[in-house]
Amino acid sequence: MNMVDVLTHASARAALLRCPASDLDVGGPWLFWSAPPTPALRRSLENRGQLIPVLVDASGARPVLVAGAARVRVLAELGREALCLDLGAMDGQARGLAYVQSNAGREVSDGQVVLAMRYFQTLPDCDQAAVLESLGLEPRSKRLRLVRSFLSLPGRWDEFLCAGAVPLACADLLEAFAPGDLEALEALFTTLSWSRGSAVNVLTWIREICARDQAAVGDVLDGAGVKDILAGGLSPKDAMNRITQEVRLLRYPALSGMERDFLTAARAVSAGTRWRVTQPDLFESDAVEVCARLTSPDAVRAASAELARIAAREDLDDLFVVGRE
Amino acid sequence: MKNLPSYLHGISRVVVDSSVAESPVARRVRERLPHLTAEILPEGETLSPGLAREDILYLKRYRGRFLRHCPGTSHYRCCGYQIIHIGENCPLRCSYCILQAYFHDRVLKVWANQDDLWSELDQAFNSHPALRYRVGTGEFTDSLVLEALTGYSRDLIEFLGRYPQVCLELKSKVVDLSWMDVVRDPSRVLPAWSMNAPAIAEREEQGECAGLEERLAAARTCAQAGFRVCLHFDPMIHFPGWQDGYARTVEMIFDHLRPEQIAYVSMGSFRHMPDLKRSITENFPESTYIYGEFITGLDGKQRLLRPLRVEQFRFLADALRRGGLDRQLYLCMESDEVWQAVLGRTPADMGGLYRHLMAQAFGGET
Repeated sequence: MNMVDVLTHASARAALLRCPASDLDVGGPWLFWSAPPTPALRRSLENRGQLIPVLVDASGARPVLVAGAARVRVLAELGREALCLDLGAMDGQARGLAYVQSNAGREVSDGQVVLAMRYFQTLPDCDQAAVLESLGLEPRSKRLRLVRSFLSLPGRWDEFLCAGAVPLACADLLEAFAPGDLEALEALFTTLSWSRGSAVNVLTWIREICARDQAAVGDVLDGAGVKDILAGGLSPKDAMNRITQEVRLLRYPALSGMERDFLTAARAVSAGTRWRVTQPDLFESDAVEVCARLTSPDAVRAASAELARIAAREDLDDLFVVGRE
Repeated sequence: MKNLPSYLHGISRVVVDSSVAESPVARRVRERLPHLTAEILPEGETLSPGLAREDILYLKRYRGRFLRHCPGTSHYRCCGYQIIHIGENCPLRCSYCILQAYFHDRVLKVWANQDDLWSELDQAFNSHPALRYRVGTGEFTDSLVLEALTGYSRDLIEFLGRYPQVCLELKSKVVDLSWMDVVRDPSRVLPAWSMNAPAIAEREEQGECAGLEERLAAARTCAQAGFRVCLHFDPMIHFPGWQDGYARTVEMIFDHLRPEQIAYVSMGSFRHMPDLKRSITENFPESTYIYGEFITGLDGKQRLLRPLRVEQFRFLADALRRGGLDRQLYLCMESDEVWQAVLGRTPADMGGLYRHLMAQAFGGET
């Protein structure tokens, strides 16, 4: 989408010009969100031609593209001219802001914000307030704090963020890892896309295990069998569940053992019944909860008989001793 | 300044509410910190909030209730101790200190309007003359850490001398026995010190806390003067080698004290609200005990997984029992299940923890 009309910067001296699309300098680092042209855009340009001009700075020997990279790419491939709106001479910040503003109609993802901020932070004397405003970032917002944390990570993490593999919510957790540990963590995000909650949990546990055991992330991941899980041909969802489970086991070995023992005992006593047996409070008490969802009087009578059979079992005590051991 | 203990050397600014500028506490602070000019805060003005500095001593006119119940939590057994609120914060730096999460600033506050305190206590104790009170000042600050400046506990002891139904506990990690000479009846004052494994005392109780030996030597001095003392293993910390550490501390206790010189010993496992964990990771990044197996307890606080707590409590309780303590032992904020597993009894078996500790505090007088 092009929204030339919002570019107040250009209004006074903007001029339209035409030039072969292949003559445009399209290598500007401010084109930070450029993506390959979509088939729809390609079809439109082929069938209807260019309806909206691209933005350029034509003050130099060769026009420099400020916004409209996908269209220019298609037009160049088609050997056509590009209709350009010349915004005049602009510095790096003005080009970046014009690029952001030309995309103002679409929602800016966390990954895009980070890509934009990476560009602007390389510019000397950049007007931070103008940048934040153009990106819709509140100066004291949590999102900006997380973006700043993310910017401290190596640039290759941007790919994970843009691909939705790592949520921005993990930025401050990731920031706390040493470079070598961060490198080891990449294995988790290369092929898997984590939800915010799962990623925060897994990274928190890994960080805490490292701190507790004075261990490197690589060792923790090895201990959790991450390599084997990733190579095991599991679906992404199953692989993430398995990794989460294994890392939690390392973080909470005693609790995990108790949960396993309880589950075994609960399954034994409730097998073949409609009763679900759970421990409600992480073993803080000896309590056990038994519940069933019943939809008819007959089901109530049947469940009652099942409960009587459970109560008569010799291994019932096993449920109540897990928290005491 | 040179006569002040080292843990007070960091104070570099004194602020006083104008209404308490001529109070005995303010006068003493002026005398004992002659190199500092107190800033007088006019009536109606408050010290800016969010002050992270621990070098400010603020002598304040406190307008809240001085006598209050300990903020115990639901679902667990509370000891029923009552707090005499004399101030907030502490210049010592213990990594596990709950005050980091309780208060948003680190300003050392002292309630200098003691006349209001005396009035409130007079009213409370006179309206129920037959009721016994076990009170203490060590909940929101260390009972004695500012004593060399304020003489607060000395004043309080003198005041409470009129009320034999009140037993005052002074809980501390420093050694300051300057109050001893004003005690009318040693059976009504319980000097108390925090105990921990030596490694925890060295690593996690930073600042200028007295060493465990120094605390126990002070306890012995008190015991020899006719006082019974209290010891608090709270928080017990789960760390590699905790068995050796707590065993060593128990040895040290019985090197210094006889069982009959000890009124009671509490045992409490490290527990915290989530905010405290954040404070500890930020302020004490070397402290790794917070990465133990903590779960959310019935009261919403994080606490060590029950079997791990029970193992530690049982170990310590057994060691203390071998030294001759039994009825003096109690658990702080634990469930009946844990009481039973550790001590083989519940508070109900002793007539309730509040009543039991009241009797212990008053030397078995019922």
